[in-house]
Amino acid sequence: MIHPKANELFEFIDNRLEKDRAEEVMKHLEGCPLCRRKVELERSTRIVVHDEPLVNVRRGFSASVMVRLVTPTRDPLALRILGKLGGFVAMLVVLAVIGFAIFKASGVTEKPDTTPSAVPQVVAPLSTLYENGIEAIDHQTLTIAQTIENAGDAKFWRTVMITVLTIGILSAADKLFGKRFVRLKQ
Amino acid sequence: MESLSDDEIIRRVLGGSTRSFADLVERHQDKAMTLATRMLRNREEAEEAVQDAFVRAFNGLQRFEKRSRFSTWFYRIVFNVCSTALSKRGELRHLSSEGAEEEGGVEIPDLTEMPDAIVEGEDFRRHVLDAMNGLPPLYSGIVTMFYLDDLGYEEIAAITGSPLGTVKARLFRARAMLREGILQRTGTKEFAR
Repeated sequence: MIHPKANELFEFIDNRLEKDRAEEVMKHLEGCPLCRRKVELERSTRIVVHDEPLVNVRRGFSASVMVRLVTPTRDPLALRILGKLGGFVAMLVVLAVIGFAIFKASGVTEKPDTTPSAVPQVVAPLSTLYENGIEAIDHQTLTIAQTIENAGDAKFWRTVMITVLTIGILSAADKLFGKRFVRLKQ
Repeated sequence: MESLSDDEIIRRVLGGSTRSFADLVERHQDKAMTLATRMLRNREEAEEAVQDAFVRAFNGLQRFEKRSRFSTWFYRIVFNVCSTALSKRGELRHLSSEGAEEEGGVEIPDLTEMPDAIVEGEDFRRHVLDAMNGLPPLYSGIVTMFYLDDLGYEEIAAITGSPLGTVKARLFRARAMLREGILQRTGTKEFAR
């Protein structure tokens, strides 16, 4: 007696055999207790696995998934680079402000030598523009400084300034290094 | 409670109702967990893998084209996450040596010594489950999808990303190994090939 190949029996059980071949296998099974046992074992195995209870997730699993969904994930690389650049620029600005404050506090008022004679004739108009710009900034800074002094509470303003600078530095460092030193948002 | 179809829930999620995704999670979490547990054989890792799979499914929901059922699409994600975990453990290496399976030439043990009552009762159930645990992780995953979820060859091929012939060969091989494992555990000595 020629038994069906093992794979054919599997396909027969799975109803995947061609109709003619399936009928031949069926006839064979009627006269072959060995192959009938193979089929029986396969079907019984399938029933056991199918009826086995599912593995349950722990309590609160779906809540954990939902928490992960609403937690901000990492941005794409381009955005991360832009973010770091933004942080870097912010840090530069903060450092510039600190530098300026130290510069003012130390009483150094000497202006850099920007006389036209030191500049080639070709860039003289640019030099003039630069000088005007510097003067305008100095004037503006002086006005702000006078306003603060006139307020009569230098300590208060110094505290405000230090607080703002600290938050600025920490925020910049946060953005730059990707750490959450300051949690301004959830 | 209103019972929405997967497609309807997905439509709501894509419409901005993130909360609706929880319904999908609760509907599919246990089957996904069963598949992951059978593949990874570690409950904590399986749970982590299923969580990852849900997060990936949520992030990629826009790309779900509804050409297949959500469960098939999601199972594919679970299967991939588990396969990656197994790769890291070095437990998928045996696949490179399974070429012979493509020929489909698996043999089934001779069952002439098998007692009639062997396929019944609690002992048989235990032997089947023990034999399942003895399968290689990938085969265990495929057999789980086939027996537990009644998935067809084509669906399993879609989930595993393998050609149909490979899936059939692996499935036949897995079932033959499972049968052999059961017979070994039931004390059937004769394993003529």
